[in-house]
Amino acid sequence: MEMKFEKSLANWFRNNREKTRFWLTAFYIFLGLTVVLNIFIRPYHPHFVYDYLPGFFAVFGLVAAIILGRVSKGTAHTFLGKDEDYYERD
Amino acid sequence: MNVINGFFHPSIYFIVVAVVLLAWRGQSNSWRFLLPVPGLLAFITILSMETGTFSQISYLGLTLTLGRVDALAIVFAHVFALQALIGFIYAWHVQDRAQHAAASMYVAGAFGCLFAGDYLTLFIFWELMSVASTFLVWLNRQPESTGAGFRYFLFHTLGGLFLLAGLLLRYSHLGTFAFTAVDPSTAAYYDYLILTGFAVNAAVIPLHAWLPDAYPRATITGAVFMSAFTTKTAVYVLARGFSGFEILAVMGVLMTLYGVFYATIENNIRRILAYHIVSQVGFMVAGIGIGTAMTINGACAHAYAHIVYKGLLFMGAGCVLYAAGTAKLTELGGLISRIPLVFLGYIIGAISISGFPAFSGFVSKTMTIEGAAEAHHYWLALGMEFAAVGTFLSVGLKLSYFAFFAKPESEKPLKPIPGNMYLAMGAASLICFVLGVYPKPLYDLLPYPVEFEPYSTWTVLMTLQLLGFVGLGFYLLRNKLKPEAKINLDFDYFYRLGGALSLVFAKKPVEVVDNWWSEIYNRVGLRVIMLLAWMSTVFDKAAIDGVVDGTAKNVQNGGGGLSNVQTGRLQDYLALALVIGIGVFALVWFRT
Repeated sequence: MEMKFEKSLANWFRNNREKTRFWLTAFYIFLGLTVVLNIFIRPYHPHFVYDYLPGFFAVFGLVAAIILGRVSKGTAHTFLGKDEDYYERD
Repeated sequence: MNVINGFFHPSIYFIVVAVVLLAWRGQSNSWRFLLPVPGLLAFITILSMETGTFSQISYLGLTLTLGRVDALAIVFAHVFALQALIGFIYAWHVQDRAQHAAASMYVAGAFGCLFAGDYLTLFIFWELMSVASTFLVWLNRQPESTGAGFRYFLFHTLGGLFLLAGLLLRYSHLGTFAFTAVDPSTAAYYDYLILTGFAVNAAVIPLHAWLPDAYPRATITGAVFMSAFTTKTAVYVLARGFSGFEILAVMGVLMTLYGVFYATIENNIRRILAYHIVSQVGFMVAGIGIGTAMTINGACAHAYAHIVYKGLLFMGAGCVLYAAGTAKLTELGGLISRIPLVFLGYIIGAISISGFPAFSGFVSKTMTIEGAAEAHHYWLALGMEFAAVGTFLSVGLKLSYFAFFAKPESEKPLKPIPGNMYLAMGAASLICFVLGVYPKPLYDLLPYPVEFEPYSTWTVLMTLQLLGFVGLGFYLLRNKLKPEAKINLDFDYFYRLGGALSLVFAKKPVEVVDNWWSEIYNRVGLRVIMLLAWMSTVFDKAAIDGVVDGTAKNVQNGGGGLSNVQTGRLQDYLALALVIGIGVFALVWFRT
């Protein structure tokens, strides 16, 4: 039974990997929806000054992700990253 | 004897199983039925445990308290027992009995620390954990594990020495070993020594480098155990002794950011997860540092949830490593339809750690962040929010994308994964989900009454919006974030600098402590020294000297050709030290 479940799950994943367009559209609709709903649903007690604005956490999430990705990769490329045998070399 | 007064120490189950496993002779495999037993018994014991102080032992004029039971200890003990059970199910297929014995001793040490009412008892179990977990690294039997095990043990011995120095100096000033909360306004230098010792195990930066160094090199099943116990025991002792220390609040938030920063650039999946322990423990340390009832509750709840989902993530990563034979993202990819169940388990762990609604991270992480904001630490709350973004970016998206997607379906030959590994992952997944939708039993365990409701339309919407747009960020950056076959420098660079340097580095604190001992001899006299003599024999002479010599040799040989004789001798040496330690412990225990 477990094998059968595993197989059908594998097939489902295999088929859906090809439906990039569908999943991307669904994802964008989802993102849009969270911002639209945010116009009507606001925090009772905003923690930071601007988080009563709709879409604050959308901007925060996107900007934070890009900053983190850029800064960490940049640091790795400039001085943190070393070859894998770095510590084994004499 | 101990059952009668309402307390039976859960460590005993694990010690007995470890001894039986080591003494086992014969070809039969039936010893493996013992593996789930101690976790199960410990869980039952803890469910029926009453609060109070038990198992006090007079030894050489000192009173050792092995059984201090209160709400704080119980919440950790609860999840320790659960994770020990899951961990041993996951390790069921492993033939090497030594690994199971080491894991069992390690868990015994963790329970000993939880229930220790005084610093001496704590120290004994603290060192037991450190020795036993070193074996979980060494027993991976790879050349790189040998070196990493040495560095791991050396660093923990150092941390242990800070603890020892602190507790002895504290005794000389206050005349007590009692392990109670320290008031931040009156903390003395010896309290800070103890705090430093704890900080080593809590992987507080910059003392954290042992963690991402050793965990990825431990055995597959050993890493699952290690991810749960060492750092969380440290979180427990910090919560007990050092809540409200401002420095911990700041360091905790720095840890959350530091961990996700490295997790974003690392290539080895187990190392990504190891850096993520630093990040997640940061949330707990920050909660303890802020020190309000709500943030301490948050830290405990987060420790509980974290042990289960981080174990799940390590199990998922372990399955990938077991099946594919490599943990490097550059060599993985396209695995989703090859091992879909592993993906499913991993992704449940990943959305739990990222704090998606309906999974366990959501009900605990929000508590700490909300608590920080309510205590008017807005910058700290914002920093933790940023780290939450990084968590989803690195563990949730980057790791799963590059391991399971990114390439066309993998053609790699995969080793079949044993059913028990799936079973353990299924159990952990279930717990993550149940805690997420029904957090009340967890909240009821917490040390302070909970007036926090994680679910409201706003919090759910906000979380989905935040994480959704992190997803968008990842989608835009996915080529930029591509893993590379590189390693990244961290603080372990400094303790690899060279044989001579590390020798000096390791020896100095030992000498300092030796000097302190003379001071204490003059102050407190012979009785303490008797006990210390025993401890020094076990831990200083055997462990430290052995390791110092060994490491120097190791490093001088360029990390490569480590002489077998040397390693073998040291491991025997340590094992002997462990056996003597347990023997003494058992003698003391049964004489009372």
